[in-house]
Amino acid sequence: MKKNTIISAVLLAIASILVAIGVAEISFPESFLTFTDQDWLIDLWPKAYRYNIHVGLAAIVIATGLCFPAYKLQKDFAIRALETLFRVGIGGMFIFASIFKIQDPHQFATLVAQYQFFSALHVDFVNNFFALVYPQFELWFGLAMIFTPFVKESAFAIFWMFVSFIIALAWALWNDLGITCGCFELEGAQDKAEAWTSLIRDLILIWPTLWLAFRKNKSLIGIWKK
Amino acid sequence: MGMKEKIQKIWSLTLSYLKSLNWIVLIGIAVFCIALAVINNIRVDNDKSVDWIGSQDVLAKPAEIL
Repeated sequence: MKKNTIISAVLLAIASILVAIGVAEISFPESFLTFTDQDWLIDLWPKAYRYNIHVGLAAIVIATGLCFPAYKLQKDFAIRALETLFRVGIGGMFIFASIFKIQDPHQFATLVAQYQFFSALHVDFVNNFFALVYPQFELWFGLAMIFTPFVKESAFAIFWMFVSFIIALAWALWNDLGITCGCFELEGAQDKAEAWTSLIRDLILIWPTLWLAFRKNKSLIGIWKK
Repeated sequence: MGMKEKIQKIWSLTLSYLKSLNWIVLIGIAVFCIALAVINNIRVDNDKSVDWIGSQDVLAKPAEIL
């Protein structure tokens, strides 16, 4: 039993690292987790940097695959560990993403305006208010996901935020707006590659969020209590 | 089970799920967020704050980047 728990924990640890690498390759090039942009690899294979999305997706597929034997070996432990990892990971991501937007509402409002989504719906006037309120939703629901027992409610809210990001990014790509996502940093308008990688990232992360939305309300410590 | 029954079942499961949520917590956090958003817009420097109602300019699309 103990041996199975240890093996399950190791598999999940490897899966977590692969997910982190996958998300970094897809969304955060040139970070310490990525390697398709490393000089030693570019020397061996000059076009390696073009395959960051492929490498990222492969890492996530492998990570998902590793969850199955981890689950089979020790079902109870795997479920608790996955819930813990998802809550901390997704909650942490939303908290991190909200910081710069709260610090500079004007820049974020400018970024939201570039999507031209509200203007298409003839409700431009909500742009600024949306830009003020949404980052607060990200921060506090992210904090609630980690620090409160209300995982169902916070995952429900975060799920719908993911839906809105996916709609906005798909809209931007469909209309060939060529803008930056504005998810984790504020830049001027850039090419649409970032919109694609952000869309892929959100399409992946929405699924564990949906799973969390159906979990029983417990604190992170409560997950591990018998 | 026919299509109509399936849709009815999905609908009733959805309603049941929505009823299971703690709406006091959801709406409470939402109201708290709105209040903090208002305070934040007052707190930040003038060059970083926005008008309560309105939008921002749409910038020119950059040239295609390789």
